[in-house]
Amino acid sequence: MSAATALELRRLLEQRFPDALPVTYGTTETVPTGVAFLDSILPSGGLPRGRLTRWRAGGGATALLRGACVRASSHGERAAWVDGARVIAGASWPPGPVLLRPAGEREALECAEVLLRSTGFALVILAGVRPNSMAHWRLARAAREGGAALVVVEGGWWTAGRARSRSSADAPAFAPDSRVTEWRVRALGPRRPERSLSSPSGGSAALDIETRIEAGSYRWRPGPSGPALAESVRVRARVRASGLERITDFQLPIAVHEHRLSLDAGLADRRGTPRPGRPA
Amino acid sequence: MIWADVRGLPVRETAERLRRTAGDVRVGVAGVPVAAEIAARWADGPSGAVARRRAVLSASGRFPGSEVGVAIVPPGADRAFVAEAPVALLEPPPSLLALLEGTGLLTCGALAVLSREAVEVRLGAQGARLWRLARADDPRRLFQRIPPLRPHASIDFVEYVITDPARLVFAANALITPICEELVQRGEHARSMTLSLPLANGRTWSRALRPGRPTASREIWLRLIRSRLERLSVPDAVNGVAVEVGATEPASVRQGDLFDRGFGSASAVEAALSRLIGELGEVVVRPENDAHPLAERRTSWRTRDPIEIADNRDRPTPPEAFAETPLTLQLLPEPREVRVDLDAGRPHRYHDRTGWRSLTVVAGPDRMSGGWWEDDAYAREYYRCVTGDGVLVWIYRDASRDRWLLQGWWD
Repeated sequence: MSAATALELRRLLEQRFPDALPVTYGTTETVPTGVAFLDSILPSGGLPRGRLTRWRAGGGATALLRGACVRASSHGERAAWVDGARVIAGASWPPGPVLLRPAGEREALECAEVLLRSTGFALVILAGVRPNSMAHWRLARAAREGGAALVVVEGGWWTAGRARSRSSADAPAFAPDSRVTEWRVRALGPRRPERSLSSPSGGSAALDIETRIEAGSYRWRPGPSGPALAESVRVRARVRASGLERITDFQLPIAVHEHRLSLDAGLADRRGTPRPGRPA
Repeated sequence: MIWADVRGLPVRETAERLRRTAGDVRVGVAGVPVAAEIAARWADGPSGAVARRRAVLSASGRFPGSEVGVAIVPPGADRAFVAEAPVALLEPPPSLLALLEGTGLLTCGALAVLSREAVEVRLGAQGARLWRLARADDPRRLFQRIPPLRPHASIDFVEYVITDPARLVFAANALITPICEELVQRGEHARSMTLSLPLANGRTWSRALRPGRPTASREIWLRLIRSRLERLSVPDAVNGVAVEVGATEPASVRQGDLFDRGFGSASAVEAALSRLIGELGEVVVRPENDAHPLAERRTSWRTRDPIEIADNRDRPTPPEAFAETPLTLQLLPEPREVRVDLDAGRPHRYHDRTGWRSLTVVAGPDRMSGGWWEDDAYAREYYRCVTGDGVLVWIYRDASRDRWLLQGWWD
């Protein structure tokens, strides 16, 4: 069967049975994120183990993935977060997951690969880096060999100048730079029909997740002169995989960053002290 | 009387050499101090005693033909040797000696066959101490335990010198293998090793290597050595390589947790994290937060122990694990300067590397100032703003320098 015929057959099946899912979606082991709305639209109810998941961060990615890490840790498994951009604030980092802050992008990729190949982690998050095609291949292979769910967070807000798309409507299609991406692209259209449909990695559960915040969905606590503190926000998650595209909306709270009063501890207490020119 | 530690030396040759060198001295050699002392004192005793002593020595057949004035008690024969000696050689107090002679206990053996209780009741505490010595049970430890030689290996380049680090790694690889094998045989892990390179100018370059955890793994030590040699900068060519173990600790086995799903892979995790720490430095960290008013100065990062991670020691409890997952503040490594357009004194839009970003909601300002007492004054006006594409950002005006900076965002 040629690749073009196989693609045509898949398209026909998707039209005829729009709710059908590949068998692997029901059998792949996963790491749940702990957010019911999101898990309900993920194949097999979580992030697939032994596969690479690409997460296009448009808002809420850190919160959701941090929650998934904590949940995995609480179940006796290990989760690691490779902070390639070194933007994780210490005050918000929970106990449990392992945090790595490598000095650069190459070091971050090395960290992720070593952790994946150790076979000791259930979930590895790689954030703040832009892996090239070769790195994607290596990471996908390491995830498959180590059995961990690997999530590569791309297009973070801080890298907006380099790779970010403004909205889902004008979002550019992913470059076919990994076997995972290849799978996704085939599900959406025959960008590279000359290659085989079967994934060389067997990565049929690979995911493409995109989260985005709607600007007008913030809930504010009012202050004397307008909005004071943001309390919650609505996040839209879009999940794409082979033969699957689902969208869900859910609400996430917003942690308050407390300002701390900064005063000189040595200030003299001058209450009651007579002022110059005024009677005591 | 002079005590000498002859452990590890050829006993007979050493004793006879001592006798010849020192002149008119008597030498006694035994595994127990009291036996050695009696042997030395009794060596020139009555002929009958010497004959008895020689009979004891020849019983083992290990040290035949000792010189006169040299008495060597074979290993394990201390009690039998002491039993033949007069009890007076143990130097009991005169009153006790008279009592022993009065009861017919003339030799150590006669005293030793009695029970401890019988001796203690009749002769008191001093009698009990004498009874122990008569049994060649000497509590004295005259010499410290000899520490085992630390594993080490070295190679000298006699006819040539080396300037290529790759060749040094090759030589180090040949040295580290027997060292690690010896550690494994001893059941020990090395906490540190010293890598030394004798240089052509007569000096020695030396560095201590420490892995993330004590280990006898050849791979880990070789990786550390390679990593160090790759950054090597020495003033002259290298004449040799030496590796020596600095400190060791017993190889221990950790207690497993039946309900820890990660326990089976603990050693693999430990090895992986140790490798990362060894190669990349302090990359595995945990935050330690304080109450500094400035967000970028609140956190200091501390290195985590791979063993602690492998053991899953800080596993969160279920209520914590199922708590809500809020958007939290993410901080840029350094606040980034931006251009801001104001509308009625409040930010309206800002310009960063990518262009203008409109602000749909602006909350603030939250003002803070201080630090002037530390010559590090700050005065800031913070605003929480929602950008046109939905990101809640945190920007501030640095009033002391009249500029705007982006500090972070919520994600």
